[in-house]
Amino acid sequence: MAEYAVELHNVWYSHNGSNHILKDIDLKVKRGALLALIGPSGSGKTTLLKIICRLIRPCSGSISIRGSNGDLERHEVGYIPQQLGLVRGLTALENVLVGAHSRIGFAGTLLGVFPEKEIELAMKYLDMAGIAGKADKKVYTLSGGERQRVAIARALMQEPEIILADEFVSNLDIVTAKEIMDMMKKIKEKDTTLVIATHDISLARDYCDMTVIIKNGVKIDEICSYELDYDRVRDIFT
Amino acid sequence: MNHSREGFLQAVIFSGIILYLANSIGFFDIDRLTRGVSNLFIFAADLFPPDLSVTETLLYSILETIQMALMGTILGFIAALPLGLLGARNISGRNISAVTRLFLGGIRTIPALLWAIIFVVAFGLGPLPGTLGLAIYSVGYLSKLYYEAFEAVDQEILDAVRAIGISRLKEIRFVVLPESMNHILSQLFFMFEYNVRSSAILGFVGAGGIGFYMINYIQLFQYQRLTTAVLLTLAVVLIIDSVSARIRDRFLTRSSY
Repeated sequence: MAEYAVELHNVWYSHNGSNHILKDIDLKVKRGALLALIGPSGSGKTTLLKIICRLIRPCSGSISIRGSNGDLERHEVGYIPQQLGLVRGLTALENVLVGAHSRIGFAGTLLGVFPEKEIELAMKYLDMAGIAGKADKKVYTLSGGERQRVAIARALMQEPEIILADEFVSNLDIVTAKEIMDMMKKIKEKDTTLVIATHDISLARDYCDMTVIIKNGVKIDEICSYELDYDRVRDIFT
Repeated sequence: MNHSREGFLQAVIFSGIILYLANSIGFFDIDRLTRGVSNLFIFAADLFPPDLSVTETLLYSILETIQMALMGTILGFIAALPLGLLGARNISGRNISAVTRLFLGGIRTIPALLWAIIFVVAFGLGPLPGTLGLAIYSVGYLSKLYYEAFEAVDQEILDAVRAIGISRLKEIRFVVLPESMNHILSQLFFMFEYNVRSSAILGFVGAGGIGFYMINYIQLFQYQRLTTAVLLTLAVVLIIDSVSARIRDRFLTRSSY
């Protein structure tokens, strides 16, 4: 079993061949670790997450997920984008069931009918995320915190090895953000690796094992999160 | 040159163009305008009172008009949905969407009336060519409205489900269509309303419906009967407007948080 969940080596990325958004990134994330990617807006955090979940390909460099740089099953990596990416016109339960699609065929689900065991599993994850009571509510009727919980349940529904979350509590008030992070830490399986992109230093310090600091697409530092303090990162954000 | 002088010059040029266009169209031909307005009053006087003796015949023909509009819209919708998906760059890619858009652009170039004439030549008089004309016209417009709606689906939502690795068909079924449902339905209702109005005109070329009677009344100078036909069409359009507004309110969800 590979020691690292994610390994990136000399990764470069740009949209147009010049103006690189990521420059020579090296990154190793241990299995089961909780890693924070910290940096100001536009530093390349989202691009890095998209490369890890293979939504985009780097210009050069290598990526290895759980020791394999070949055929990764997409559903092994759960991705929660900044605005959560929930389908507004579907219910919370239907959104969570989207996470199960890699396991079930198209014909059976064409009319929106899902296997009973998948519905039970979705309800289990909605319950773990503390939102089972609103399973049949359309997502657009839910509050910001409730939608966050649905997005987490959808990621868990994939039963992924790695969860990538992009600034996903940054729109919430501090109390709800801490509640969500507490819950995330609690329900995370022991071997599940969690990578969170954030610009919230206290969140990284309180919840993550390691923090990687990025600025202008360059990895500046990699430290244990408890070493994080404002003096250390002041220059990064100015 | 300072901004106010530049602005003044732009206003003068713009006004000059408008005045030139108005003159070339005939808006400053006072004699002609006076004569035209006087004719309009004479024509308006001829329109009233409406001749209600033809109501029963017209009611039957307006039902045919609604039937044509409904069938034309449904047929157009059935073809427009997949063509809209093929035309959306974020779903089918640049090459397929470019070919689809070219095809749809070609369809839209020909107006519904011309489609109806083509189908009258091919299939003879009656509601069939009118319905086919409306269907083809609806395909051209609905597809364009749909691919624009599909392209407006939030990229983050697509990213989130593509990261899961679900197939493109499932992406369409569980993400693109539910996210665009408001647009799909509201544009469908709009197209139906439009087709009811449009199908009245198609009767002018023998493609069935109330338009057939309208053109006859015009040619025979039976303007009071024409008024009855216009009022009936107006009533039907208003009823459809109000019914579709109620359906929209009932079924449509808020498009954003």
